[in-house]
Amino acid sequence: MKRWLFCLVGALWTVAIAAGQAPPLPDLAGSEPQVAQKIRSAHARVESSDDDESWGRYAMILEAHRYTDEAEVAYRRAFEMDERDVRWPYLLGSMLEYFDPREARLWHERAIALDADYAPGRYRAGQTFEKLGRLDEAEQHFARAVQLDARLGLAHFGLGRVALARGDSNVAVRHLERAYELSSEVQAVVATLARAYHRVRRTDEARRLAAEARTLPRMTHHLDPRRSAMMDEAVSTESYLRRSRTYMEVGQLERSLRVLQTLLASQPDNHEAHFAAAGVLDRMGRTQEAVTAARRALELEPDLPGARAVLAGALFKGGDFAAARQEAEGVLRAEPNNFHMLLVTSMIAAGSGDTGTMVTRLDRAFEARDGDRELRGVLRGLLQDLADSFAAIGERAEAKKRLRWVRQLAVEEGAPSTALQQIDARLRQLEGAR
Amino acid sequence: MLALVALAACGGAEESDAPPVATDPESAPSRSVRFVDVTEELGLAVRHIPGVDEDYAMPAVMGGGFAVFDLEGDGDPDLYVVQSGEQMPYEGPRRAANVLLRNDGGRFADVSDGSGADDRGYGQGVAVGDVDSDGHVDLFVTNFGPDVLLRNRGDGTFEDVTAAAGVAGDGWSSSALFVDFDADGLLDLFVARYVEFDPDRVCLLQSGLRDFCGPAQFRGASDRLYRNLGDFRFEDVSRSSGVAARADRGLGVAAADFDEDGRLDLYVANDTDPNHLWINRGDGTFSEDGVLLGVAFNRFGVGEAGMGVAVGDADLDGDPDLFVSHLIEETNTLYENRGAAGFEDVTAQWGLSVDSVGYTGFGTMFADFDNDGDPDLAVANGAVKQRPDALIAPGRASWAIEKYVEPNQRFENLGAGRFRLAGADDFSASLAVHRGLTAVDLDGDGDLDLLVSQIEGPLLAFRNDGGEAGPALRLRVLEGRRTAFGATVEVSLGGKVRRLLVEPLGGYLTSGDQPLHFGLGESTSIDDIVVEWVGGEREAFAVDDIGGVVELRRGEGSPG
Repeated sequence: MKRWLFCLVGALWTVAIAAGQAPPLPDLAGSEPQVAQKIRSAHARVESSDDDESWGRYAMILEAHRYTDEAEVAYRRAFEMDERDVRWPYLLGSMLEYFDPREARLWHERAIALDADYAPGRYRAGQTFEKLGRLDEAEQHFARAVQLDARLGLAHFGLGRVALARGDSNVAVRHLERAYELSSEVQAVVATLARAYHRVRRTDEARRLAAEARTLPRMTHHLDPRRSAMMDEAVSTESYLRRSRTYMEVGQLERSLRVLQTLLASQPDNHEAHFAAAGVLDRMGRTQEAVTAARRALELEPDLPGARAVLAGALFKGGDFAAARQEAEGVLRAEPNNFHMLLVTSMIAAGSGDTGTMVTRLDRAFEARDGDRELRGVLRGLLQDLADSFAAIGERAEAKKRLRWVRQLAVEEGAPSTALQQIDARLRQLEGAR
Repeated sequence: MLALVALAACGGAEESDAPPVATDPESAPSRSVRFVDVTEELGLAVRHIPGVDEDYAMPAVMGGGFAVFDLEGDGDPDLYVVQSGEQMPYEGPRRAANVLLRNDGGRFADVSDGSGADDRGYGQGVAVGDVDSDGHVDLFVTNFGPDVLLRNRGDGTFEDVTAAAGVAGDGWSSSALFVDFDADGLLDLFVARYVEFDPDRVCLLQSGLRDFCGPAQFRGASDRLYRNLGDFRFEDVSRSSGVAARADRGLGVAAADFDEDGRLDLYVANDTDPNHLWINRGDGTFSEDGVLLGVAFNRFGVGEAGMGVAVGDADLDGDPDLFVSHLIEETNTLYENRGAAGFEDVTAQWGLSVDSVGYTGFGTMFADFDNDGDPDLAVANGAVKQRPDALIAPGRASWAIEKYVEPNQRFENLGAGRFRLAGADDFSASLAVHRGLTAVDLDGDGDLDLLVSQIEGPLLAFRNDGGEAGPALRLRVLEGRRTAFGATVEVSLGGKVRRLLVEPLGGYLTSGDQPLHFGLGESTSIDDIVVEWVGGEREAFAVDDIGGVVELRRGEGSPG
């Protein structure tokens, strides 16, 4: 009874807002000027047009800047004005998933009633049911999403999660392997497949994937065209940077770069944007442009070790070893244990035949190994080479020391037991050579 | 029309999203348990000083630990409150001292002056443990800056033995705990470390407003493990044990034998990074198996913002389950231990999902508040970024604390895999930036009360009214003269066996050395008690009288 009273009051409140026709305006004090301007401008459009498109667009702009309370009111109003437009219930459902999964479920169902064949919508509905602990319904939506788009990796992932929760490990493996085929760059998929392999006692594969998962970026956003359109409304500095990161996380590097270029068009002296662009360009293999962007970031903000590190890495990849070493040494003065820079300088030293520096830096890189996992494989390879070199010149103690590190890295990476056996055999060989 | 939409939404939600006990926001109070704010009554007036200003330095929004222990051996719980300070260490020396509070017949008196416990580091948390097994609980204080080890002389004063012990560390330490990981009878020390903080980093919300930075803005820091060599000397075995191999953003810590091989493992809740489950190999090294065993990520494979950790046997099947508190828009997560299969995130199925997404959880603990025999949950909430919906009117403090305050939550364990949000009381109505939490019987009436720290406010005390209606067993489990952290106690009553871990209470910046509390439910007597000591040895104890605190000392039982 109390619940119904509560709902009645809520409904009356909603009616009052609607009847008043006044779009909610958040407190914009302290906001960036371009944000305030965009929101005020959209607000004015709502006041003048008062149609579903202006309300819905206003809602998207509000959500893009995290004014979620006001966005909810605006989405509801847009839907009330045009109940055939699937965007409003879908976006509202997606936004509410994080605050109120029960309410989100209702809006996702409304969206599906309008467009039953939108696979990402089915995935989101399934995910929302999963958040409510309703696995049967979640499974139905994931299965439908797979029927609609067999290449939607996340839908297979959803089926795998449900199977795993039920203890159907073999079924889970089947779904998750398909998800992995389609989305091998998604940390969540890789980690969950590792867990499933562990359950079916495929231990070596489980360990390998667990190690792989740790090297992948954390992905928090599932992007689809409707959600992307909302995100693209954001104009705050932070939202540009965040959106760029999000696109980079899901492998949309071109799009990530475009977002930064848009930001730089209005803020050409934003050092963070130049820094971020350097990182994206570096990942795209556009090394020279990455160098230019990193240098611009450092011109604007010299105390930016991250940009200097990107610059050193890009110079190294571009073959300008002298400049790379200079920049890397600059980073190491500020961060003596920077793993990437120790590796870069050790490799440059190796290239120039400076074995002493190479060994020192490599040793330091290993000692200072600080969880920067991206280059661990490289480090392992270099240590292995180093061990072989020491063994070749009869420095067995030095060789064994590096080989033990190789083994330690291999264990931490979840290398298969055969690889460990090979290292152990080599260690025994070195012992025997004494 | 809009009204119909709203009504339809309400009607649908009530319909059948999940069993009604889990989703009804107006759920009935649990077995008449209510928590009453007795902060003033107990004389807890020392305010936490975070030193927040327009710089929004991140350490200011994370701190606020405290410890509960018996300072003088009189059986009453005394307190140690960690202060942060008016300034960050890089800004200057002006910082508040930590505070030692002695329990004088139910009111706490500040006895810091001359105690030697008044460290002035920029404090975060504290761990308790009897490092030299002399019967006096020692303190390890984690700081943003060098940490401090304080030896309890047993006369109400402490000696700073950090330098000789070699445990100062550096950077930003968060939670710590004492754990005898090598089963040699001496308590070793694990210290979680957070991020490599850069004070020059400026962070904005998506609206463009200034706010505290999130952890992703900084590199993570590797955790530390120190092996106790005796005589307050420690060896840093972080690297050789393997725990330094990961540099993630650690906050909450817990120790238990998660894989039931007789050795104590370590769990670290990391903020946005995968959580760590360090499985003890028994040879001084650990294997990090969080991903494989299903506790690194949530059910969606996403690394959440891990803050606090609670360990408890939620489903009464005998093995330790894990509960991790998280950021707003994430659920707090319950990982059910399924033995060899690892853990499963059962948050939603157990009814713990929907009610937690609106808040940022920190300190959390399993504790049997209604003495019905199963562990309930309490969570201290408080935001780290400005909430979109400030929960109280603005204008209270310079740094706009009202944008960060949140209410606490308590969940009653209904058995059969369900929890429900408990009814309103002073604990759940408290609006503050809560951080550390622990459950302890402050008034000795046989039920567990709650202590909660907050940023820019006093330590809060909530008295449990109603929990004492059911009987409880209180055990002090001792190895020599110290509490046997890591031991497991099995109590048989009415044909059922319940297991409880002897742990330093609190998984976020907070710690406690207090008697183990067993709610007995409908039982009035117990059949049998078996203790499994660290290292795997088992001993049975006969207990006839369950009144008062019962001592179980290693070597004084019979082979179990």
